[in-house]
Amino acid sequence: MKRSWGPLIVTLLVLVFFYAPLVVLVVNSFNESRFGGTWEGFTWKWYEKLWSADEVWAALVVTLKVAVSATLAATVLGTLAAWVLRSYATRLQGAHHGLVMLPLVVPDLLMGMALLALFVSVGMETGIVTIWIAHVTFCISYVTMVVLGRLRDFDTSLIDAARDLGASPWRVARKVVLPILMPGIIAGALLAFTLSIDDFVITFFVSGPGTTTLPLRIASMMKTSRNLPIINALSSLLLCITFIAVTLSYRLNRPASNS
Amino acid sequence: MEDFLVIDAIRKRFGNHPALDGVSLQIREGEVFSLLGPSGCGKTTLLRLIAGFDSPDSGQILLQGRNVAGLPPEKRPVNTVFQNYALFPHLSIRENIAFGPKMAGWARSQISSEVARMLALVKMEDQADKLPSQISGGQKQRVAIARALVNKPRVLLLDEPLAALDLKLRQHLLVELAALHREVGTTFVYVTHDQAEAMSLSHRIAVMNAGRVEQVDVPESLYRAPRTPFVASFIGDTNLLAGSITGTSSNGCKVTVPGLGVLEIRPETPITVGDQVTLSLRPEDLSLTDGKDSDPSLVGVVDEVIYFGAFTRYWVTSSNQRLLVQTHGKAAWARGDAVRVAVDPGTLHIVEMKSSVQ
Ligand SMILES: Nc1ncnc2c1ncn2[C@@H]1O[C@H](COP(=O)(O)OP(=O)(O)OP(=O)(O)O)[C@@H](O)[C@H]1O
Ligand SMILES: [Mg+2]
Repeated sequence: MKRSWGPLIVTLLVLVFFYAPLVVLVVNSFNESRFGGTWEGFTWKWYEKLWSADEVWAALVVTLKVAVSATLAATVLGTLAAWVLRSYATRLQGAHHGLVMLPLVVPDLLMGMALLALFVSVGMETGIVTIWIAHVTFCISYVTMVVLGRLRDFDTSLIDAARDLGASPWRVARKVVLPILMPGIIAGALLAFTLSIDDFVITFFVSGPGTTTLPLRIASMMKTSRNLPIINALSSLLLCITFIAVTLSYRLNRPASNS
Repeated sequence: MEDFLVIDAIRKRFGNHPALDGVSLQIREGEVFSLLGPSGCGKTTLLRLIAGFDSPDSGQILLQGRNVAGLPPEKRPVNTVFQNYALFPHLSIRENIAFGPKMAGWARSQISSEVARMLALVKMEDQADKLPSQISGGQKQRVAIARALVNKPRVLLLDEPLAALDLKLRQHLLVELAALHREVGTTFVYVTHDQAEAMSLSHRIAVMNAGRVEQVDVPESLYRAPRTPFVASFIGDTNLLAGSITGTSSNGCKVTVPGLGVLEIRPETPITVGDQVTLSLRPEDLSLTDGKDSDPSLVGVVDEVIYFGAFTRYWVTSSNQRLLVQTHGKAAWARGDAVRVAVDPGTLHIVEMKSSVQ
């Protein structure tokens, strides 16, 4: 058989296309040069500057607060939504499914403007609460999607079996349904967490003057800061965290295959 | 005790379709009682009503004289072995069996000793710490039985517990199941669509058809004395023949069957001359004789012969009907032979009767 170089070349091109920007970013976070055009030597300088950049850390705290609390709320609500979508067969179920999944396809721009319009019209002051509400709103859909996937393999006769063996409905949920769905729930939660952490567009609309999340802060630093490379350092750190979260999520959501 | 578990005039419909259409049964303490019937006849539906997963539209279920209508499944002293086993995939075999006792709040030491006893009973001690996904179908079935039995239910409900297994394993587990029942003595309600399974395991069988019970009897009587055409043809092979009562004799009456001539029968119910009846004739109760010198109207032609080893089956065509005849040993007749079908008179059974007087 003739050996073909085609697949190898295509693979390399894809890798370059997807990952070259990330490599440049990470390399530049260790680059002496302020503008990153040329390599001027290795340094931890930007990481040190990042360490003392209080406004970045303040933004990170807001981001984490929002991400953790929005993830918790969205995970509970999204899991319940998935359960209800799966358990009850009514004629409206198709519509319900569509409504829950809609935020996955609505452009962020639209979501952001719509949410802002809503908050303004009910007289809510924009701030961390409105950011939280917005994040819960779009995270629910992702959690529901992931948990529904897991529920497709869920054998409902397990519920009958558990009740038959003396478990009350509440204990059925705790001892049988939740443990079996847990990998899917955690995967959904991790997905929600990463989406919340780096959301820019929607957050841009619903954040208030006093509260800034990390993505917003970075965007504003791009325009004004003289210490642009600390963004590289920060982004590299975020990249690490996101990578870990996604890897965990992927591992957990693999169907349990024990041979 | 005839009234251990009483099913009284149960009806259940799904939409417009009656899944159970007035089912009444009396199940005795300690017996293996089978619900036998074709797919879709309502066996699972009835089992789910007894377990408490569904409630009947009308009628009631009494366990030891007590109406169980208000009890949710977790409060009924009844446990189920599900058709797909429904073992908890996230729990080990041991934890699966311990699930019921834990829910019931038994003491820890009692749980572990009872679970160990069950593991021994179903010969799964070696596999106790595996997950359900790591054991075979036959082993899962045993675990499912142990998980139900450990709770010491008054009634064990089994929904086609062997249906998913291959023939060899099925026969093996059937023997084990019978031994298990002798050991624990629990009342079994056993659902199956396999008549051989029901016949070999049960003390009594209810044959169901389209949401109704056709006949409840011991296996022997179901086979020898089926009371409806459905039961006769569902339990084993049979020939269903139409005949008419044409006269009386010293200890019964005469029935004329086209192709077989005039036969004598001792009916169990009152019957009058002129009544139309359907008879069930088991193939092994028929025999073949040379048809050369007989009345031509009673002679048939062998049109198929199949040799099975221990017995031989013939299909004989005579005057518009086809009869299945089974004889011991190797084939004595060949295709095309003219034969006369003879009937052992004591084995005739009327399964349906249409009176001529209205
Ligand atoms: N939840 C349900 N909704 C609608 N129809 C149902 C439901 N459960 C059962 N049926 C109908 O009721 C009838 C009896 O079903 P059931 O499951 O009791 O049959 P079965 O005797 O157990 O058959 P099988 O041997 O195939 O398991 C069937 O016609 C079935 O379609
Ligand atoms: Mg069934």
